[in-house]
Amino acid sequence: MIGIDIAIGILAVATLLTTYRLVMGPHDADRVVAADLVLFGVVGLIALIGIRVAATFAFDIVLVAALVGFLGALSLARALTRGKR
Amino acid sequence: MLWASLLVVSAGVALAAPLARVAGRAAGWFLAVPLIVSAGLLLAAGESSTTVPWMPTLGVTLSVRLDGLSLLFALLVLVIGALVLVYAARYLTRGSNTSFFVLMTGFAASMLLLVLTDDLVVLFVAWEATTLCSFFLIARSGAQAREPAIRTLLVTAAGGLSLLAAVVVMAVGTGTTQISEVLSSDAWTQPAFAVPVALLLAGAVFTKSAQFPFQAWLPDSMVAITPVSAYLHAAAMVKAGIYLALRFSPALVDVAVWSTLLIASGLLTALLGAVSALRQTDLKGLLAYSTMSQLGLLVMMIGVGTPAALTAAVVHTVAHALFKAALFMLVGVIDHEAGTRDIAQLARLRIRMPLTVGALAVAAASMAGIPPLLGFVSKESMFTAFLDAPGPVWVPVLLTAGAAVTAVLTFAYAGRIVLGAAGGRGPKVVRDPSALFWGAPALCAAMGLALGVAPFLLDDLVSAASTTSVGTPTEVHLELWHGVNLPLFVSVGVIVAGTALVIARRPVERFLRPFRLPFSGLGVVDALRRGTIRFGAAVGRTTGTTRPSTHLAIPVACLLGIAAVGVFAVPRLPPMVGDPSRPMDWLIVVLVAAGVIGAVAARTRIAAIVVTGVVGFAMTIWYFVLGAADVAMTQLLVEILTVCVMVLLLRRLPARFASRGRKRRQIGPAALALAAGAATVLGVWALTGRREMSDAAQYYLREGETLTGGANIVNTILVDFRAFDTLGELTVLGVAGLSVAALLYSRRPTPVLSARVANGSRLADAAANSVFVRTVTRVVGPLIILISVVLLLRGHQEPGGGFISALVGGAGFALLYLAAPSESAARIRWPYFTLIGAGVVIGTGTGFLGLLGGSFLTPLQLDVFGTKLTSALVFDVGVYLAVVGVVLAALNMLGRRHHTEHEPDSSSRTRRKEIAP
Repeated sequence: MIGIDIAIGILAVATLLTTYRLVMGPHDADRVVAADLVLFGVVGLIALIGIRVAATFAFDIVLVAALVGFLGALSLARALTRGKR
Repeated sequence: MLWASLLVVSAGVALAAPLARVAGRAAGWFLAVPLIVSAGLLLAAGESSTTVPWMPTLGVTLSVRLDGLSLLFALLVLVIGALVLVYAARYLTRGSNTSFFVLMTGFAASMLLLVLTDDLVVLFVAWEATTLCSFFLIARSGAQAREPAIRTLLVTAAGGLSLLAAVVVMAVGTGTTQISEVLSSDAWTQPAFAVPVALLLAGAVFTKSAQFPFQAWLPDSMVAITPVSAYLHAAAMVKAGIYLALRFSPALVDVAVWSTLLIASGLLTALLGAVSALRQTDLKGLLAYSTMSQLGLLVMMIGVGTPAALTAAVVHTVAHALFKAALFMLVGVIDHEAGTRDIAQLARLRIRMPLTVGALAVAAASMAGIPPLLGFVSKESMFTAFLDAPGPVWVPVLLTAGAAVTAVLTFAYAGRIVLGAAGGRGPKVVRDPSALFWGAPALCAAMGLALGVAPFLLDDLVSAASTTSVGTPTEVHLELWHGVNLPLFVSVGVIVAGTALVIARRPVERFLRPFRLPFSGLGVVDALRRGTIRFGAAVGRTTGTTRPSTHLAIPVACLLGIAAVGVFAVPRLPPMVGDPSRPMDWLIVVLVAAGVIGAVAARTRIAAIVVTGVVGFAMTIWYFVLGAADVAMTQLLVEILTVCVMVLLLRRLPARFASRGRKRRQIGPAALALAAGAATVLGVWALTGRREMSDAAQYYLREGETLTGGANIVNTILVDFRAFDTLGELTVLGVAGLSVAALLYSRRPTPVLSARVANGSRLADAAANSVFVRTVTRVVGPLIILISVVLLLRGHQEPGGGFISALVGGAGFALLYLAAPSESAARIRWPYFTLIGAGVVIGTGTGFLGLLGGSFLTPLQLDVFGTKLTSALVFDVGVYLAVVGVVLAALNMLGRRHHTEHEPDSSSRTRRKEIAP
């Protein structure tokens, strides 16, 4: 369990650092990449916390998030080109 | 009998329109008949009363009651009304005068109801009916009459509201709406009841009878044609206020406020009107101010309140109605024949109208109070009453002096009328018209003469009326000759001084002309109106904006108010149950805070969306950590789909937000936002986590699975226990989809703004650069659909269900849209409206199916080979279809290139070509 706690801590720090980049990011593209990273940081955190508190359904969320999560990044990439394909 | 007389007059109203159409202006002859018949019926009826229920739950009855006062006023209204109608038959132009006859007879009927009714509420109704008839009668005189009509309506309706307030106070204070019972109530001995009622009734009397400070509308309303002025503004409507004052006099005579107000206002109005009348050169305007002045005298007499004064008021009411109606109508005759009623212009005409001017002179002599006319009798009674007025010695002196000055001025302007109407030297000769024209007014004037010579004819009528308004039996004997006494000396003095003023009328006119009384005029009413409009505009300006920020600030400020109340009103909070926070919560708090600060500080729209997304992800963990797997999953999916839809809108908007202006201007909103946030935090901290689990939650946890067969409590609540909410939500979604369609079909969306993308680069080739996504889609697409179906089916037992599975499916369609190499290929040609409709129909249909199991939306369960099938699954299918339809509609309509309903203009078409692949 200590290992899980340490992993949660490390991932939390990584997510917060990414959030810093996301808020500060000089360009919108930086923010979009950071947002993708935050999403998957969150997914990882959900998986780890799920193990930590022995939640049964953490895997369902992780699965759905992994399947459709990249859609956000894809959309934002489309936004950067103002809808141009 | 009473009802018969009312019905006869009402029948006249009903007949007025067809008669006026058939007989033209001669309808006046026929319409005078019901009024005379009604007057005969009333004379035959004697004192009596009848009641018909009207609004029993309010205790309001249509009760009528004939006593001396009612009879006197009813006779005045009916007889003068009949004479005016006869007169109008010749005065009006040939042709259709339908509205005139309908309104005049309608006015007579309302006035009759006003004086006959014994119910406060009916009194108010009749009062307002006279106001409305008067408004329309003035307004029908053409465009220049519009403003005066509105002013009259505003002033008299304000007084009507004052009467309504008085009616309410009296009805509540005495517990009845029956006027006779109200008057005999002992509530009048309490000043807390009597003083407000006195003030409110005085407001009604002063506005209706044109007393200071509400006198402005009366001269103004002279734009109406002469029959209207003669009837409404001399004999009938302005007497409504006098009637009201006389009616309530028995109860109010001992209230000091009432007497003071009436005497002060009446004296002021009497002098003001008389002086203004002297200045007028228009005969009708002169008569209007004269009416005002005479009404002032009447109000003074009622204010004095002794039996003698009230008797004098009754006599003077009769005298005034007779001579003023005659004067108005005769001036109308001269106007009609000579073409003018201005003294200066009449002086250039040779008037040869011995009969008309003779009658005019008789009426004017009555007004001036010359014996042997009724005006002399009434003025004599007035002086007698004033000289005996109660109170300290200066009161009778002041009253008599004021009345004497008014009488002198009255004599002077009466002389001006006669001399002005007599004309002068000029080439044009004006002769008497037919007797049918001047006959009716001359009859009025003759009645004044006859009753003056033989005033004892009025003894019975006046005695009965005085008895009513004094409240105790009063015997009156009227005589022309009272012997040599003080009132006679006053009268002689008045006549002497008046004659002097008439002889010196030119210097007097020159002296008075430069005086402009600042308050006698329409300026006050107009200024009040303008002020009201300006005030309304100022009030409206604070919220009359389309800027959302203003409209959001108001609820936020209200929230702060509620919080402030809460801080003081909630006395003591129960202790926390357990510790609701955990170490990892702080991670989420930091993430949310970072996202919120980033969103507030964002300068570009993409940045705003991205940081908002961070908040959404943080919320996902939060829900998960709090143990809500379904909610967390829904949150995640909604977040991602929101980003997809927002991106579709983003390409039509500028990349950066508009500049927010000066920093200083943001301090206020920022402070408001911080305060509202603090209030919300306080509320959540104080009001959650302070009790054990609710009974409903325990019930769901305990009984949920056995009752529904589903282990997922969230889902069973959504589709089994409280499916009605879910049905509502799915309808909301469907309506939102339709609204998007309606909005985009009705107006063209903002054109897409092109980005600067290097066209030569291989990256710009959409078909080639989308290979990656298209390949992924081929694998992931079917998987998403499969998972969506699995989530739908298992929802009753494990996380999933209609909404989540539909959002997953919607994400699949979003992937298809994003992966398509061109915009035309991206369109998903599914009938999304049909999907939405089918979803709502299936959801509602399942609900109706539930009627078989007991009630709307009750789930039906069925065991098939050991598997529990429930209609909740069908309901979920409905939810699924509706949500997928909405996602499809949004993607399709926001994501398409052209709008099919409108021709795109050339500029936007070229711009679109730039970005077309």
